[in-house]
Amino acid sequence: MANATSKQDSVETRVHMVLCDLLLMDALDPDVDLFEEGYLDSMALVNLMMALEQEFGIVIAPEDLDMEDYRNPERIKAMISRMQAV
Amino acid sequence: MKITDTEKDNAVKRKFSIRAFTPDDIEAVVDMSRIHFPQCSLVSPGYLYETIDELYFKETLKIEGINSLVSVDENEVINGFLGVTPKPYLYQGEKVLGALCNHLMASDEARAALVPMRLLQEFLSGPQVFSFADGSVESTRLLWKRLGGEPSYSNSVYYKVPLRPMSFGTRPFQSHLPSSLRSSIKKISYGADFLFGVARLPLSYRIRPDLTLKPIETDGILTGLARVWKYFKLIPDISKKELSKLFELLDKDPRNGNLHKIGIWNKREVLIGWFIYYSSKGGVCEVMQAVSLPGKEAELFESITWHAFSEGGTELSGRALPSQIGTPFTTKSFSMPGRMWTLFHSKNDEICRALQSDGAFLTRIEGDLWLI
Repeated sequence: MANATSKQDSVETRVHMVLCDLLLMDALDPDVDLFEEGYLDSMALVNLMMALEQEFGIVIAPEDLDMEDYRNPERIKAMISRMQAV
Repeated sequence: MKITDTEKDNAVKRKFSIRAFTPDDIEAVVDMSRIHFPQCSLVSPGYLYETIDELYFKETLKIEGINSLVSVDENEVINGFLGVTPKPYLYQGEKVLGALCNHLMASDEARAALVPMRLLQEFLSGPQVFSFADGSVESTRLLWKRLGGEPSYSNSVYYKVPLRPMSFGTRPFQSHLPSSLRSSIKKISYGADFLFGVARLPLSYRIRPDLTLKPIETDGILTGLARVWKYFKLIPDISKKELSKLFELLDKDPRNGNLHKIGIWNKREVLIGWFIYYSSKGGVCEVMQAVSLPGKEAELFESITWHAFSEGGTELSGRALPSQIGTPFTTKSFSMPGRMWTLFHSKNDEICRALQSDGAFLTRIEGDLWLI
């Protein structure tokens, strides 16, 4: 149980790190709406997907692409966990 | 009260939705085009309206599920557009439906809501067998690739031929100079180029004595296409009426110069090739289509450079067909792979292979880029 929690934390931390690197920010609210707040446009999303693929060693296939998965850090974390579980 | 993710999704769906483009939207798309595409502000809104109407409503095939798309906000104000035209093709004699997209644009607000990506995703999920786009910029290539499409590397090699070397060489700097200096440099360049011309330099701009160049009409081009298409697996399925209409639209566009359709005949009066391009005196001559029988690429290149030179062009610019790579089109020019991109998307592997190699007949005319 503790192991699973720390794994989730680690995903969360790494997603946060990827986002902060990409958006050139020191910190980001985990609930922030990345689209509504103007952090991500189409090109930034493409860059984010590439960065996530690199960071987590996953491949985001076009047929799996649901833009709503990228709306906030929480959803990104959930999407990564889902992909890692497959 | 905390807003749930579903509520947020619904809010965004209400804020931006994508639907088929209708004739009532043309005016708004004209206004957007004039903001987002500099070439659209070179013509009157009325001209643009008429062309968009012809291209997307009057002259296009109506296929269910293949439509130009607009994105609208909650007040039904258009904030994004993707032009789509169905394009019938033949793959090894079998009818296949292609769809072309161009003119992708979105307002700043819509861009932040991923409208460009959503428009492309909607388009690529249509019923067509393959999708393509011509002359796309790098950012569109990245979006396209992320959505499962590919760039056609062999159909993305551009060339530039300096027809008047001095004017060509000084052209990029002229816009940064004060007008008096610019005018002097222009005159000196013209003078030097005139002397090069008198001295018959550069030597490549000549016409072979055994070739005859003369205007070619739609029937002649269709005859030529029939001869050339047997070397391709994927070819446009276009009628004389459709081709004539396309030429009519290209011809009336005032932005690019004079449209020329020139055939090349050998001494036995066999049509060995043709070229369709816009001549522009003192400017860039844009090649829409330059096609020859296999092995006649050098004759084609010499003919088109000579013709464009004779029409006063400063440079010739075009996209090489895969069969023209390694011929003078790329060896005697400034060759620029990936200056812009021809993009495609298909779940059919054979069609993908044809589009990735030299198996598809895809010239800049098929891209419709010049019309809006």
